[in-house]
Amino acid sequence: MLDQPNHRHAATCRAPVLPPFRRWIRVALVVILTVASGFRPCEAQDVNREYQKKAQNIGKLIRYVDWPKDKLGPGAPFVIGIFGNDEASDQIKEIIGGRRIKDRDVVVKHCATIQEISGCHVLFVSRSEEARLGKILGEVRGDPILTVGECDSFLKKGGIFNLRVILGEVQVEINERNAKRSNLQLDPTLEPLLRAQANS
Amino acid sequence: MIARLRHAPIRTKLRFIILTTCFASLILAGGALFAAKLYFFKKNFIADMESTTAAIALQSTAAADFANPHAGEALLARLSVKSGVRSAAIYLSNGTVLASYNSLALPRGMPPAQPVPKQYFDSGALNFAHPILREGDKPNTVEQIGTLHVSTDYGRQSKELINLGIAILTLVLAISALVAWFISIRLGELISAPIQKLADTARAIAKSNDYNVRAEKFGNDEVGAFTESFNYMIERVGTHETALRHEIEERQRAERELKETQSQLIQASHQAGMAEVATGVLHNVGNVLNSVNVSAALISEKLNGDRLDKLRKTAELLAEKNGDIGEFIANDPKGRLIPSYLVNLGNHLVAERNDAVSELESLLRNIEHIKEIVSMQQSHARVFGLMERIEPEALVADAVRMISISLQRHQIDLTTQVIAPRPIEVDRHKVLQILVNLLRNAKHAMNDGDSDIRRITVVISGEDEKLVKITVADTGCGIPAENLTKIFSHGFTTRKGGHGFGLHSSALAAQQMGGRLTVSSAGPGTGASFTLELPSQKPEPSPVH
Repeated sequence: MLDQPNHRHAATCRAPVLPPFRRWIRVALVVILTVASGFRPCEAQDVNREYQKKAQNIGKLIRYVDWPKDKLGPGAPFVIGIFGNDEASDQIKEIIGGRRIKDRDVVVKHCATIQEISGCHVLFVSRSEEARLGKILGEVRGDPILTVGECDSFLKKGGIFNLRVILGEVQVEINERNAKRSNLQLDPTLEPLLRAQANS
Repeated sequence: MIARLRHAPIRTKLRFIILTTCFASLILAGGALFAAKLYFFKKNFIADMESTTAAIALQSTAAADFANPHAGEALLARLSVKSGVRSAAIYLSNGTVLASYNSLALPRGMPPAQPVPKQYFDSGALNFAHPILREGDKPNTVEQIGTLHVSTDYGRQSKELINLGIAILTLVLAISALVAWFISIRLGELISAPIQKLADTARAIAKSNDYNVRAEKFGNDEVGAFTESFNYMIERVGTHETALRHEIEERQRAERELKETQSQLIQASHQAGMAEVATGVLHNVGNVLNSVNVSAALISEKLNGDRLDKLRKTAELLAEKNGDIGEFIANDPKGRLIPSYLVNLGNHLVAERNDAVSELESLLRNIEHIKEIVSMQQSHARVFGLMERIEPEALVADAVRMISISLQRHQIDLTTQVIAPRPIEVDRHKVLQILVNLLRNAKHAMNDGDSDIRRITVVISGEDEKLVKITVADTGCGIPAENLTKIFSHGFTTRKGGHGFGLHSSALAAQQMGGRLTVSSAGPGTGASFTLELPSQKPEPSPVH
């Protein structure tokens, strides 16, 4: 833009002409100052953004699942248990903790042991727990607990929803059979996602 | 068009009517069906598209909520089975396109967010928008997470439908026209053939004037009834024509007879006129001849006397005494009487000669008068029937002159008074005839009466400017009251030797000239008065009764 002077104001507003190297120094300083002012570690930022999206998706998933009435009584809050790293727990708590979904309060708690899972309606297992994923899912198998994971083998090992990051976007994978096994009723509008998942 | 069709044959009219009716019915029916088809097509199309869009929008909830383009595209791919869908797209709430179907055909003006289902036209296409909703966090609330837009090619489909309808209608019309044409030929014959036959028959009758020809009847419909009526009418016309012809012939014959009769009447009237003229002339001449006859009789009487015989005997006696005549005259007693006898005889002969000369003079005057009457009659006859303007006193003078000898002989005084001299426009002969008749009747009345005063008074007067009255009054025997009403009737007369013709013809002549003849009398012995009223100006001709 600077190389293209405004001819209309050329007679009155012509900028002073600088030597080439001084001009480049000035541009470099501006770039450095700009980058330095907003600098964050890239990896940490991506992780945060990922868990923000995943937290949002967990909140959305709750809307597409019906729990048995004996598991989720009237007025009872949704209890979301987070099994895994604290960062995921923090983001989920921040995003959906304290909100009301489907006219229920949402309670987010961090589960350090398997025994703490029993009171949960939703269980998010972070990828940090991939090693003992089978044991965790085996523990809740058949229970009406909506299991949400982020490992590639999550669905195979008995999980219901897997939040997979593809090209920076969080994609939801579903195992309908595991949902039925857990006595959870999935919303029919998830069928296109299942179909797309089957075709991919 | 209608005017041109008016002169077309019935067959053409029938075909035109059948084809026009068929076309109009088909176009109306086809148009109505097609309009209904188009209406229901649009209605069904919109309903189908609305339900399809709503269903896809409902199924797209999770795909939009989780921003899964594959699921969205899988859903939109289902629209490929719908023939009316041109393109479709799922827009997220942030305005980005999650998935699309046939994205090249997406309308440019497609609004990204649409809170309620809506139809809208864009780029000439009918589009449907339906919100993608999910259950809200609060009870009984929904939250829009995207919008489904479906663009249809309704315009193309409706245009194809219209084209198809027009093509079908055109084809049906063409086939129907063909079928209707053949049907009209067959059916038209049923109507047009009897009418054509009837027209041919009428034309033949008009050309040949043969009223024995009859039209053929084909059926018992209106044309059949018309044919029957036509035949009946022709029969009546034929009857009337025959009767008319007879009547014309009868009239022609009557006309010929009438002409002949008229000719005869003319001749008869001519002869009658001649007879009437002759009667008048002879009547007047006869009057004069009476005087001639009297004079001739007197002369004859004078000439037939015995004085000449005595003179011859005296001459024979003197011849015997030849030589001794002196002796005889002086001594013989008979001879002595001869001189005195001769003196007396001479005196008588002179007296007789004087009487004969006097009678001969009278005879000559009467003969001259006859010549004058004949001459006058000839002069009147030449102008018979001519209306001319005449002084009435001149006519009266002529009439008096014609009868004056007779009046003198009967010692009748005649007085003429002119009170109001005014010319009249009349037929001289007729007025003269009337006046002579009136004067002669007055003379006869005078002879029949016993009055000492024998006078006829002729008065010419005119109380009115348009009328002249000539009154002939006498002091004769008068007329009884019962005869006053019939005195002008033909053949009525009270006089011996009369014909009852004079007054009748006089009254008729007066009427013909626009006047009238009236009579008044106080009764027998009081005389009578006849008044002839004549118009001063030429009257309108009046019929003769």
